[in-house]
Amino acid sequence: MTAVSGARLLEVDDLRVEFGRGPDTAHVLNGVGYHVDEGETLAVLGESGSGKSVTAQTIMGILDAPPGRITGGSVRFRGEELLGADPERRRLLRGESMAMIFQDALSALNPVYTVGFQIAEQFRFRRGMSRRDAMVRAAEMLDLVRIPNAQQRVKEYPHQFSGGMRQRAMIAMALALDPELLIADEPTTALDVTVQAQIMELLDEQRRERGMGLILITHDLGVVAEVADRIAVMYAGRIVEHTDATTLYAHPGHPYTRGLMESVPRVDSGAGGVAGAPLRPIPGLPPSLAAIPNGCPFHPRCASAVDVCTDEVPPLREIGPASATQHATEHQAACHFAERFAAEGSDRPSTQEVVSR
Amino acid sequence: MSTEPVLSVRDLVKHFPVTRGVLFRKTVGHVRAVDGVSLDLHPGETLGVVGESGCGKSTLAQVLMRLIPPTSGTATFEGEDLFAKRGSALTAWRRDMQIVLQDPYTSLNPRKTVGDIVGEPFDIHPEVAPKADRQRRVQELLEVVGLNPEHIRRYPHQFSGGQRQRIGIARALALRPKVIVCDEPVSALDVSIQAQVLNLLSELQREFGLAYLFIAHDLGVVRHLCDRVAVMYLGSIVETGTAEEIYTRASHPYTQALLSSVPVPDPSLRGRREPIRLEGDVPSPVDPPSGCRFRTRCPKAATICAQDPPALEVRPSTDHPAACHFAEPPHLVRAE
Repeated sequence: MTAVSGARLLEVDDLRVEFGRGPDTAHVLNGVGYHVDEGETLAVLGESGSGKSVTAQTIMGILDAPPGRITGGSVRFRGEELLGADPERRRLLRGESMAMIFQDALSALNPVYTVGFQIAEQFRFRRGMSRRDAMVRAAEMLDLVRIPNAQQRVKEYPHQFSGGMRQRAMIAMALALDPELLIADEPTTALDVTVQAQIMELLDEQRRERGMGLILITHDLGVVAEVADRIAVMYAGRIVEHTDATTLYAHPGHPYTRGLMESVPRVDSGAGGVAGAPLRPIPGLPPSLAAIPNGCPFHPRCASAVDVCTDEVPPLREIGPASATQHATEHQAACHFAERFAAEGSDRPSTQEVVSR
Repeated sequence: MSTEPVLSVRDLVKHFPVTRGVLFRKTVGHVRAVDGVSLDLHPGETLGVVGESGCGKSTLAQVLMRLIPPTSGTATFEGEDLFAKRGSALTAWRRDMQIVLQDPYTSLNPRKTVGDIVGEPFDIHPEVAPKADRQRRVQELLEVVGLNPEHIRRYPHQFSGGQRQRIGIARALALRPKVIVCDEPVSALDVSIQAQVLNLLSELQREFGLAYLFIAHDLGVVRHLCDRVAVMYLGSIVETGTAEEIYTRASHPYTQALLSSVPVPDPSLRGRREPIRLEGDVPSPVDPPSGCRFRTRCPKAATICAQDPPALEVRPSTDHPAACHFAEPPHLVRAE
């Protein structure tokens, strides 16, 4: 379950990205930092507009600029600074060292080429293979991601694939050059739940076998709980909490994290373990990125906000273990009162208690 | 339930023809979108219809809203034949049954103000509110769904997704319907906003005694909101029961697989749940499998499943109807 901590693959530090100019400038990333090691899964959790995809695009070097503008920070891959690096160098890294899969496989695949051709392209241009050899390798890749009848399927077009198979084909494409880091941006959001489970299993298995680092970008707290080693929660272009999965769910240190957990209707029990009990949603709306509130960006929606929250931006800081039973781990939260929230724990009864009632 | 159902559906079928040719169109097959669905909706209750994409749940909603005609089958609304209604009887019935759609970005006319959108039902049914009274009524509705009544002159693009969904709900409420069909009303929303809208739907139900036909694919949402649940697969209901029955004692292998596939937000259960993984994809509704439609993906499939379509009925070891020859309560799917 916990990854064998390998060498540091990726380190993102104080990343800042803006869109647009003038008074309407959207501050999309306001100092995002995280890291990924070999063989581990980092989940980046957040709602729409929190900046999770823009961070990934910046790492991959596929941010639309303009209108996007990187105004600060650094992205290091195995110690090598990528921001400002030679575009040709970045192109070589893509596919070879890091690859990305997207939410909407249908629009990510080219509709006028066969799936096999699109996978084989990489083998031809990066590995110098002949068309025929590359096609054979493409079929092997499709077989690897368990697309039945891969020999025939390589000759088909994306529209002939079902949603789940398209996502498998994208994974095959991303894994073709054996990258060390895979970024999966909402890979299962467009899929049905039974197919989602298959895809998550495939991703997890490939990560394990290849010792690959995986960044899983999602808004689904359930998916995160099942596969993530560490979790970074994003809100308004910042990381507001970061720790391992067990700690995050048991001792959320940021009121936003806690609010998310109390907003999700669970399939295994009602809210708070009581069927029919009302959900406790987070009031209000996420802020406009062109007008992020002073102080803590979450304060207008926070029930515990006091004066200091409107005045001072809480930094992301280490808050230490919340209880004696908690194993030593890093736990950072960007809240002035994070220790208090973490100590209270999530006040839902655990699932075991609910089931045994 | 002791009360008479407000909406009662029997053997509803909706097939869409698949055609070939431009000049000489000929029908080469049918998409069996809804294939023999029966259900009852009682006043004040929420009936959840769950299923994966393509199972026919949205087509069911459209047929029941009289947006598309059924191929066969019957439906009664308060005892009257729904599909026989014409002219003024049809218009009058539309006051009683309204719909909230999935996508709050496309279901509101971008060129109309919120006041126009929420007030439009009053234009069609002028007997409900006299003209002089309309603005006040619209503002009341906005207030009921938690929007600022002063925003009556704003346009949809000035609202967020969750607020737009509230506008859609206000529009559905305008004529004080008895039944609201909710077609995936929260699936386009972020979790924190989704919870707000779900709570709003519960409050409105209590306040106005509404019955919801709640169509969704999110099993957690359905468990939270629904009294009874019907699970659909490839155009038919495969299992139905109270939320309690479905979520704790599902007896159809499809329902069991569906429930075990949903990730649970609790890392302490990791590796302790025994998921039932289904192979492959849902077959095409143009050419569904013979016998039981689920048999191609079913871990329990036997020879009988290819021959006999199983009836939706209560079987010896179960307490609610399921359409499976081998229906039985789940072995511990969840951790002890």
